Amino acid sequence: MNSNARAKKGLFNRSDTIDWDQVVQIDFPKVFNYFRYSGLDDDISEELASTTVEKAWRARNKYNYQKSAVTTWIITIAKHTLIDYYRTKKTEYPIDVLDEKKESRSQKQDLEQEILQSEIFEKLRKLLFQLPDRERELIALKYGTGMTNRDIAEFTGLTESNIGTILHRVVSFLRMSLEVKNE
Amino acid sequence: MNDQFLRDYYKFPNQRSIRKVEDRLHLNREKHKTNRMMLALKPMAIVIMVTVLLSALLLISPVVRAQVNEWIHQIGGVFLLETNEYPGKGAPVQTLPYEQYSLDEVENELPFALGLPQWIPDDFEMVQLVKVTRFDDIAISAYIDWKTPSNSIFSLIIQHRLDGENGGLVVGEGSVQEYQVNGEPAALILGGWNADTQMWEDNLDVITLSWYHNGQLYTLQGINEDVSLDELIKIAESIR
Repeated sequence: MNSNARAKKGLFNRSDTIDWDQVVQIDFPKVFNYFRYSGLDDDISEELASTTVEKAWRARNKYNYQKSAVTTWIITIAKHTLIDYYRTKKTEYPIDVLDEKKESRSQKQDLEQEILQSEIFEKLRKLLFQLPDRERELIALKYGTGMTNRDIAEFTGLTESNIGTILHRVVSFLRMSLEVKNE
Repeated sequence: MNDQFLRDYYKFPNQRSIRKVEDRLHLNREKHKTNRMMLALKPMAIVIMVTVLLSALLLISPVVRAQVNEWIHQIGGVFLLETNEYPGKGAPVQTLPYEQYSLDEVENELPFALGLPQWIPDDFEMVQLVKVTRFDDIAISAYIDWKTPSNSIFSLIIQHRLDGENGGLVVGEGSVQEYQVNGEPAALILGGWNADTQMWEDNLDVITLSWYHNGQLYTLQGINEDVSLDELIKIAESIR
């Protein structure tokens, strides 16, 4: 029986419609970047992305293909994972710690250009980390997962035009902040 | 909008982390396959598991039940205790003795009428002997089984309470959903207790539907591979 026919059989065979290899190859990088664009470093982003995929696997029987695409469903799980993480860890991760990590990493870079790029990325990450929750989520969805404004509107309940306005404002703010810091 | 600096920030996870995720998923999938194989090799395990579940709540005294009342809820008269504590934790697992009767004989042995499904998947083969367990003066349960193409057992368990109380199930947290059987509420449970690990496992492919019909607690239980939700509801609604 093919997966479509099985899917038609009902809720409890819907897990068969999820291609887990595709989740690892395509959705895992999106989830990883969703966390990175939320201002978390690569190690934590990787760990949270792995946790998200595992949570999705455990909850696969609850996935409803009629409600959302697999990617959207997994990003919803990532969102809850991030909320849990912030609830327990954010206050324990002050900016000066980020500075120390930046210095430590920079020392390991050999090429001047890489050092410069790395520093810019660290500054960007700090800025992302300090954004208000809603703005940070929109940036993470747009640039981390590659969602269109329309997808983001469906995901968040905001209007498409509102999303465009907010993103424009936040991107301008981030660009100006980086330019000021680099002067 | 000049957002190239944000696009440049995008980074693909390295191969090591992708392999790590693949390994973690692979382990889960292997474990899942093992669970399914265990169910196929030990078809009676499902029946015994249900017996444990039903008896566990039956053994809760009214006093204890009052104390844990806040964790118990009802769907259509079916008591549901959602917990991650294995029922009877620490106590040895007991297999309740049972009697076996033919379908014709069993009607004379029971103080209640058996409602049987008028529809069942074509490839299910009914086991001609009905098992009956007796929980002292509390309840009597009848187990009607079908062999499935995957060599597992699909069961209909009908429980009659002698003490006038309602029966129920001890299940994992968040495993219950409400569905309708002929317009009446029924509890649908995903997952099952793993007797080896003494933990509730969402990915154990057990599917259970429990509801009240003609004053008796009816429970249908099988594995996802054998029966879909639609089929489960269809079987339940065909019971007369």
